Amino acid sequence: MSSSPSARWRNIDLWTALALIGVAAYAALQALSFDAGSRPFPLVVASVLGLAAVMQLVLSLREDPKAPLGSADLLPAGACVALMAGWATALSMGLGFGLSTFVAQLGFLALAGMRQPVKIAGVALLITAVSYTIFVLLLEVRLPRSMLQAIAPGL
Amino acid sequence: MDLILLGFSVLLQPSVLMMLVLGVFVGLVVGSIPGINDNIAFAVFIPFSFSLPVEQALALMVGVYCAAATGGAIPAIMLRVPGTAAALLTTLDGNAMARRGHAGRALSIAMTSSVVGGILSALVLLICAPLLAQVALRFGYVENAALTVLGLSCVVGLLKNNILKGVISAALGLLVAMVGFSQSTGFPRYTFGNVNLIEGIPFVPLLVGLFGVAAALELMRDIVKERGDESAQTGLPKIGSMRLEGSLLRRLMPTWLTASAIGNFIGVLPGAGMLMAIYLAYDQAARRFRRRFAGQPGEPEWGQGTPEGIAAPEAANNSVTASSMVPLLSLGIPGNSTSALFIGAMALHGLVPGPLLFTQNSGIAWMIIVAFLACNLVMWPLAFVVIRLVSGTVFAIPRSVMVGVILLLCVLGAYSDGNNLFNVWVALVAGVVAYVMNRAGIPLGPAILGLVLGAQMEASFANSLLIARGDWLVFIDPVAHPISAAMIAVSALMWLAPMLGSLGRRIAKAR
Repeated sequence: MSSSPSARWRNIDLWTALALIGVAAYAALQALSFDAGSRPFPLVVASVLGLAAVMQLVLSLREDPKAPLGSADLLPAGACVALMAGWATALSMGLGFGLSTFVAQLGFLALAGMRQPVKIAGVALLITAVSYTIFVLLLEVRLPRSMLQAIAPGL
Repeated sequence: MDLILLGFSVLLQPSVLMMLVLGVFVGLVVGSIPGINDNIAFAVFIPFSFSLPVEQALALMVGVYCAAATGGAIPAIMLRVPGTAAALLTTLDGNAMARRGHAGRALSIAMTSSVVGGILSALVLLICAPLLAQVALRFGYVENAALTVLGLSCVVGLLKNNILKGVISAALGLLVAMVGFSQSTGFPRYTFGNVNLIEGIPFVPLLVGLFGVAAALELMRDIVKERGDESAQTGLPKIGSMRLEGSLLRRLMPTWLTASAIGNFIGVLPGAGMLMAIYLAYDQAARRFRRRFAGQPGEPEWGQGTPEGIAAPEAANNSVTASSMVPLLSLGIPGNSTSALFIGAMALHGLVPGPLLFTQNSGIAWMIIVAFLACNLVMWPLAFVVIRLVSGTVFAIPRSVMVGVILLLCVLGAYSDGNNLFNVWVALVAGVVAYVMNRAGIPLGPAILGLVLGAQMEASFANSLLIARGDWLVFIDPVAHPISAAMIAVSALMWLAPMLGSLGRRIAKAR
């Protein structure tokens, strides 16, 4: 009970409990629209999830957070996810594997603390070339169509 | 005996054996890279194993699974950084022995202990899995429903301090398992009108996300956190002689047997996990050391380089590997989260683990069993090659390069399961969810089990209640369904024991 208000608001238990209550409520509401044979099990599971999440919420309000969530927990992971989401979007837009992967790897290497631009570019290029060779040329993974399709499939 | 020979006849095909050896090699190398664990290796390999014949794919998986736990000991001893969580306690005595100039001896004890533990565990798998499958073949809907309850109760009940988060995790897994057409009526549930979800969330990309992507996000977080905290890296200890004297082998025999027994017992319990096994084995070894060797001339303090301190956790962690396959192969319930990944690998080839595997695909079932035995035999000489290789090269790869590579391998693996970009999004979302769960201390194990058992649980309960005309007491009827009643009783104990324990402690405190 002695934690500062800001630490309490950075308590991950509190936020996950709230999110889970939302998920459980949505799942239960959706379940009500299912036919009679498909309804009971999702309804029971959603109710159990909701109940457990409410208990978690109460506990998180009563207890001090053991390790409040900080930007160090969120930013690196968030940036990684953003880079991969960008990679998938670029691939779906036809930018091709080569360019998308190269840019994404540049981002990962910079994020992980590599600072020399030439080294970053070299390593990113190497990863892109090796992964393309293994997955597309050897394992024959069919990539989405790209603007460089004429040079090599999926590139 | 014929069935064991059948297993060997499949395994000893040159291409299958080659995949097993490759898997052992990859597992040892992967396990020895801090931050890259067997889950990541699995998550990356599963989608690509689709292009291999089923025997080769599963031999590869067995090799990786067995060897990764062993490989984790190499950086634990050489760098004091466990390659996998299973090598956590090996860092203590292992690195202490290495720093005293006996790195080769420490590595040799670790490898030999792993192999002894692995072989004993493979024997347990060889004996128990088919027997348990025979029993499970007689199960009807009621027993199957009780079995799913028992599986989930074991996982959640063993969490002791965090039952609430275990329940949340299991419920989340069950909820995700319900996405797609209902098995009983065909009604689409939680599909959001997306055709990709009609048959449920694609399992392989989901596993790739939960294990691979989440682990890569954790790795990036660690790298960024540790960037300003680069402590001066001391050079690697010299490996030196790796010979173990006969007297030492005789001295370690009781430790190996005890640790293997603990590992095997924990391994067959769904969800108990390797960590519990290594802690219990380490504790038992400490008691024996203090009783027999502490204070004698030339003997270090416990935790300062004792042979038992290396042998116990290493024998225990490898004992868990094969024994965790007992419930998976015989009942379809994974012993731990890594063995749950086998379900994904088998599903890609149209195989369903469980008692029917032994009747419908006996060659494959027995091949998996004998592969665990064979891979430990292969691992022993190969481990010594990998130790030299890893010390020279793998430890030099910067972690900053690994995150991008792992993520790329994960998303490409997810994509290649049907060449569908939707799978990449599934893997990313699953990775984020698993990362948040890790940060929030919500265990992943119950969710995985919920995912695996969800459909079976719903169908078994629905059919049982249909046959019993809605009578819920059918599950605890000791006359008509004694096995179900026993399983429900054990499940209730799993839930009540921690609660009663906590209540007892509160009462004692109040006095």
